[in-house]
Amino acid sequence: MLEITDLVAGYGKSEVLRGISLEVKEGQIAIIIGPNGAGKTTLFRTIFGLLPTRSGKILFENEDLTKMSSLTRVKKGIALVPQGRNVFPDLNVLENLEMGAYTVVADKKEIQARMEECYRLFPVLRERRIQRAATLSGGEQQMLVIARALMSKPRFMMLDEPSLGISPRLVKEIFKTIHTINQTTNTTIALVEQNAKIALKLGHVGYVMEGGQIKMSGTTHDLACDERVKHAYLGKRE
Amino acid sequence: MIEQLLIKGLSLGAIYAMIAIGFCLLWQSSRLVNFAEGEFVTIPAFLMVFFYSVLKLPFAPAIIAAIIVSAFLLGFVMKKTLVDALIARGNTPFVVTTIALGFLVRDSLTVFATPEALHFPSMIPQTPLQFGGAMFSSLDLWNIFVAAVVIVCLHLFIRKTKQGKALQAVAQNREAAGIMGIDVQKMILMAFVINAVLVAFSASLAAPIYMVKYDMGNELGLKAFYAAIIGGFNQVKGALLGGLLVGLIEIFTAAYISTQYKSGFVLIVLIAVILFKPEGILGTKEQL
Repeated sequence: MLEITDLVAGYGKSEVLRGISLEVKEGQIAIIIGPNGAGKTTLFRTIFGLLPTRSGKILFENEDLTKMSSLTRVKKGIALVPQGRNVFPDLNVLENLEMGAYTVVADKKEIQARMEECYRLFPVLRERRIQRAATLSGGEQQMLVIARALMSKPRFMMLDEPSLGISPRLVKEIFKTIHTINQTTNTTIALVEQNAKIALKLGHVGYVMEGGQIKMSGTTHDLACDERVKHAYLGKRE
Repeated sequence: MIEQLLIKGLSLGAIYAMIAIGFCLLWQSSRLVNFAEGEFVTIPAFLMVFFYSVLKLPFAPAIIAAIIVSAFLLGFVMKKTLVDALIARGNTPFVVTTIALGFLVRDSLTVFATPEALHFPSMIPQTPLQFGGAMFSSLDLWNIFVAAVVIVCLHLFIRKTKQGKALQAVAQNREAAGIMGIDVQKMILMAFVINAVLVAFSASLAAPIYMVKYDMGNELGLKAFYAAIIGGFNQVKGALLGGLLVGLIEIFTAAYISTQYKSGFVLIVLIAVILFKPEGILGTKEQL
């Protein structure tokens, strides 16, 4: 579904991504782990088109994305859940969700149906639907951001550290929901995560990113068993 | 006496408020401050005189034509030229450029139009009204009425329509709005067009009172700028409150202290707000 070859991108003079190649197959959950500053967020931003591709290719269903705007990429079925609690603070939950469908659907019934789906995945959002997003707890805001991305019914969704600053109990719940989304709607998912232990349990394939390059890749099972990964990311020592 | 001053203050404040809301919408959507905002009031005022006195259009069509032309010139053309050229560089180059634009507009009007003050009639006949002990003009009520209708329409547009909510989304979290596929540039264009319509309405109210003159925007733009800061630059309701407050302060100062001090008192309030609540009375703190 997504095939990246020799991707180079960065900010100003600095080159953050230095020749990334990776592949995510339809229906899979791909996990990207790596230390801070490895370029994980930059990778997502480049795939989504917030940052221009300097060289290399991003193929989405055999179509080259590199010259397309973010808006076109949204319409092709790509969604990004950015890091942090990127809600619209003064809009209520309902309006936040509405914005998620902004460019993709105009039909009110369809929007309503998609909202119902979101409420099924995150029941707490239904209770909070007329509350301003700023009044939600951190975990609830993270759920809202994921639900908002789902409103565009993406076929490929990128999640940038959804566990950041959230209680362990909620992290578990959110990961379970990500799994459900992948299973029930066949949404292909790419997940950047610091919390490698729980992420590797969830995903199918994994990539270890360091210094703007892919250092290792394999099934999540293989990665979880790898001595170097264990040492560096899972906090286990032999 | 108090009622009379209240009505006069609100009437003046209504004109300021519409301009201040324009400042606020531009800031929210584009993070730019338009220092030619005063001239943005002068231009539609001149357009009204042009359509009415030169082209001899009937009164109402002349005003509507002026509003449409100013939406095009001060909204669309402004966005496609100066804003697009400068927005990537942040606010400062835009501020300097719009200060220059203000000079250009004033001097061009003096040279190519007229340095004289022109008369422009009000939309309704000006009759003195008496209400209890209060004496005021029908124009005062009319100003409050027009501004209220315009602001309520704007409020409904922003709160209830999809486009309006998208504008709010851009104001509240531009990055996330872009990720939703909301066209941020289109929203900025929309804000500039709305601003142009707001200043045109305030011009239609200000013209009969101040006369149409090349420098009529100086004071209006400045007072509205103070109003937006006092009320809160990043909140439409703040700009509205600020506008009304500035109008009231001016009228009450003029009545109880001295006409000469009316601008001074506004500045005292402005300084107090900047010292004690720099985000404005209803404004929210922003991270830069």
